[in-house]
Amino acid sequence: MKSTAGDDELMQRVQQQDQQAFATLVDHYLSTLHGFAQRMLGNPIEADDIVQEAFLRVWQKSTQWHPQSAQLSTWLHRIVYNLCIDYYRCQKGEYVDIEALDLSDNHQPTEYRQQEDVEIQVKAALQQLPETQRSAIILCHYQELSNREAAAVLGISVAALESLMARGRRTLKKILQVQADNLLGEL
Amino acid sequence: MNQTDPVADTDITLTRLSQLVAAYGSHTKRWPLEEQVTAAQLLENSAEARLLQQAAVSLDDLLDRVTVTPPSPQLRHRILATVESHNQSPLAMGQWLSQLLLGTTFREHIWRPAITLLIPLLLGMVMGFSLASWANNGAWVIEEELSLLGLGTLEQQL
Repeated sequence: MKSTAGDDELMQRVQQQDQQAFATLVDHYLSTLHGFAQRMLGNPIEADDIVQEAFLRVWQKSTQWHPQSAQLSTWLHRIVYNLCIDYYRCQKGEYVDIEALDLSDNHQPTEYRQQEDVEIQVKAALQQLPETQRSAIILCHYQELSNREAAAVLGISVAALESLMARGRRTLKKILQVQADNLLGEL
Repeated sequence: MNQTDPVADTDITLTRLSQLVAAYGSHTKRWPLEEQVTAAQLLENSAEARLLQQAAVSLDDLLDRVTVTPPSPQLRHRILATVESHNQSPLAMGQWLSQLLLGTTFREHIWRPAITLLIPLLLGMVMGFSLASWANNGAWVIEEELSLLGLGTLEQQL
């Protein structure tokens, strides 16, 4: 999501503790940030907690945002990203084991089940990536941030971001090729 | 590298294009803004460039199949309520206690009431064990002390 010109004005009002402006900010960014947290963590329930905490921090630390230093969307993504990293550290690198996933639900039509299986396997493959590679792919592919914005969220250079994404995509392809028989054809 | 040599130019651009495809995938809209025009021109003129781009399409298609669950309306309500409660200073005692015991997030709503219930249970168990051990040992000591006291009194009487 791109920041709009109205974001500056909105944040100025939030900085003055205007709750109405804060509600507008929540309406504007809730889905985007929730999607980001969900893709980072692979779980909508945990994403709820992360996003709630993120918005609380936005409210409490709104004066730390300056329009000259970062776009609002970049700043918000960075808050959620940091919370997700803290969460990972607490969980000590739990990840989804693609081999352990139950992909044999026989109660749904074959085509639908196959579609669901593909989604589950791609999600699991994403979760198997190192956290920095996953973050880079999520920010650019799903969150549609520009390369500079994504690099700013991760606190790295654009060249480092490109390297992370290339390695991440290569690893994803390898993981998914192993599962190619279940992926409606071949990669 | 000779800038006037068109083949050399294409080679350089193809190298960069392959880097772009490897990093950002096949969709040109995800490529860096400043390189999109040049890349589009190359894609139009070079079959090799189009092949490079095509190689990334299948992975992009798979990535695009991953959907997310939209946030519930309750989450919006929770966020606004949390901010409102942080605004009230000082926090009302009852509200503070309820937040402490019941939590404010989904996960806290599960483990905090469980701990709230566990604490009196554990306290009860500890007190139960202490009383039992007192009944076994302490009561006997008191009984002995009482009898000694009684004896002392008897001796004094004698």
